[in-house]
Amino acid sequence: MRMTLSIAVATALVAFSGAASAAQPLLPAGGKDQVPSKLAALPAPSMQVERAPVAFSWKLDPAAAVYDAAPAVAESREYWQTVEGAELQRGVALKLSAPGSLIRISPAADARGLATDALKLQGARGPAKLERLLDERQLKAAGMEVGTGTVMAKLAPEAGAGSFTLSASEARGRYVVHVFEPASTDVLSARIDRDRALAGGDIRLDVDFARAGRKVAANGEALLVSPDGRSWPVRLASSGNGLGASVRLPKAATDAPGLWELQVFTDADGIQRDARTAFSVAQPTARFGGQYDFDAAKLQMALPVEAASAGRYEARGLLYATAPDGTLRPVSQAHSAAWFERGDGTLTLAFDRSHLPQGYGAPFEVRQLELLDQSRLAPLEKRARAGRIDGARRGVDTGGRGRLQAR
Amino acid sequence: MLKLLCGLLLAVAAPCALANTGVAFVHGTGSQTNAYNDYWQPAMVDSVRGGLPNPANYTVINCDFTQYMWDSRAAGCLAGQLTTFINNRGITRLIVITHSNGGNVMRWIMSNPTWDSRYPNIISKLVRVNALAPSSAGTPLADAVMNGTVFEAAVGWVMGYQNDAVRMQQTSWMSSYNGNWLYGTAGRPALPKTFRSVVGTDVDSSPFDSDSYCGGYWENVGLETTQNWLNSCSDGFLDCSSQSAAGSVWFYDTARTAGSEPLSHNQSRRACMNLNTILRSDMSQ
Repeated sequence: MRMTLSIAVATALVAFSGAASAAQPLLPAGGKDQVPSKLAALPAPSMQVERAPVAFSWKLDPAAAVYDAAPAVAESREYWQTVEGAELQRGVALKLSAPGSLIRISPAADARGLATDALKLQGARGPAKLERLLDERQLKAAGMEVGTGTVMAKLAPEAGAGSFTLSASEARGRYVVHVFEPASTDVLSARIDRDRALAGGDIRLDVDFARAGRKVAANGEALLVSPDGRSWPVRLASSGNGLGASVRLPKAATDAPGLWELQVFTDADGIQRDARTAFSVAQPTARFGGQYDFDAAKLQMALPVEAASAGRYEARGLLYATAPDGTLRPVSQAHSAAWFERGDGTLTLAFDRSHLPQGYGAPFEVRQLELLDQSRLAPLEKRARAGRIDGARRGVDTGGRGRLQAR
Repeated sequence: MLKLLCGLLLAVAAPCALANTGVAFVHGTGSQTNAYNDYWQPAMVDSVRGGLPNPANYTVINCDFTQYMWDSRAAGCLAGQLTTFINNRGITRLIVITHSNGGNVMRWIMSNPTWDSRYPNIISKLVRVNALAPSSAGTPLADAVMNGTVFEAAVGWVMGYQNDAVRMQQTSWMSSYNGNWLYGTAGRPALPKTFRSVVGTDVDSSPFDSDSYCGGYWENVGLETTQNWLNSCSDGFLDCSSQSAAGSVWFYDTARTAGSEPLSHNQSRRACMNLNTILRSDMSQ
């Protein structure tokens, strides 16, 4: 693949005035686009970031489709609960829905670590048969970054399902009991309608509890959790055959790195399931100015940016060109980033003409246009279709390099 | 003039005889200070670099991959060590071998070329990434150990053992990062250079099978248990679907390993089942 990189000239690109064409408005935002309506003035970012302007582009395979995938659905056959050492000494009741469950006990920081032989699991007909017991060392060797003193048991298939009592006579302090039922047909599904949002915006959560593939009634609650650990309760209401909520996000997001979560806790006939979904929440520190200049000869798109907060901002976008069969295909990806003080500036996406396959040309579209705040790791603006550049398209054969005949 | 000549030669024969090829080994989650001995082990590194025209053109990365992938101690550290390697050895063709989460850190650099002014030069020298068992779509095991629910808000957040790299490799988190910051997964634009994975499909931990002892017997026993969180096709830490989520699949382990044996997650960074010789042969491609 051929790439074009330009650090030295990026400064010039940032200041590019787009004299080659008149400014045009960005295409109207679509239903799934994210466009800040108000901007937030924030203190300087705490993250150390690059200060030099950098631009980069690379060629794409026109046959490889680019599309927006829906956020992943979180499915769960597991749950977690906190217990006190005294409870664990007396015995904690567990209701298991399938044979072969795994039970892990993790001590809190000041709790006593447990040895594998300290665990007792009592079934309705006596001690439950365990297939395997693992300690912290074995779990860590397998890549599970468990805490000190963690133990895990796997029930033998013949231990079956039903009611069990988990106990550990040596328990002191607080513990997290984690129950995972890989063979269970009781499955919680949680989905969100987007994986990025702006502070003060909304996000939709939908939850289903299925048993053997059929939705069943469940009680549930949820928590909105920020990357710095703050949380807000979310009430789940009946929604179709499941539960759901429209969640209003706080206006004041955090600058702590990481994602926000909607954590869901459900119970159907005593069978518990927890699930988590993740998404980014951005403070709208900047936005595109709403117009662009496209230099058709250079395939450069200059984008005015309004920055309400100092930071390092990046524009990225995909150039679609018209293929010989008349369809628009992705041909080039360009990024451009620079440090901005508060105020207006410009970022220029410099697509490279050598990225145009033979026979490709105008009309062009710039799609998947995004503005990101690199200094706060925040996706600010996204437009599925940002600009269309018409032009007379003529048959071109320039020895492997396409040539634009702009009108 | 040499560059021009090399360019002409590249058109008819690759790699160019005048090119200076080097290989970098990029470890997975964890903070390494001696990954050569502790993470990869000499049998792996020395065998693979032996396939280079100049076997001295190698580097073993030591960074803090307990951090988020974009962190200066993760991708920043990796960029620094790769840049030093490229400059000090005059590398013109860089092959990067990653394991597990190291693939995500490398993919961060490839997906975000304007994040750091050192990234474009690394990408321009990069020929390909051979990603051994990359955690491109995260792992349910990271979800399991996070304990991050409401009940654990008082406990989980202070337990302290969930580092940011584990947090990041939760499946829902990687889905978000793949959709917003990283390239190469389904529906997303392609990465600027080849990113191809070696996928581990199973774990053998029979005490009567000598293959179970490569990479450590007890480690493989643990992987058999962690497989309970995973699909039928997994290496004990990652589903095959996660290992193959970004870029292209170079090969599934059993298609090319000695005896068609699977590579568990611990074995895919070691000289097990001929993996080292497969990688060694690739150094001359």
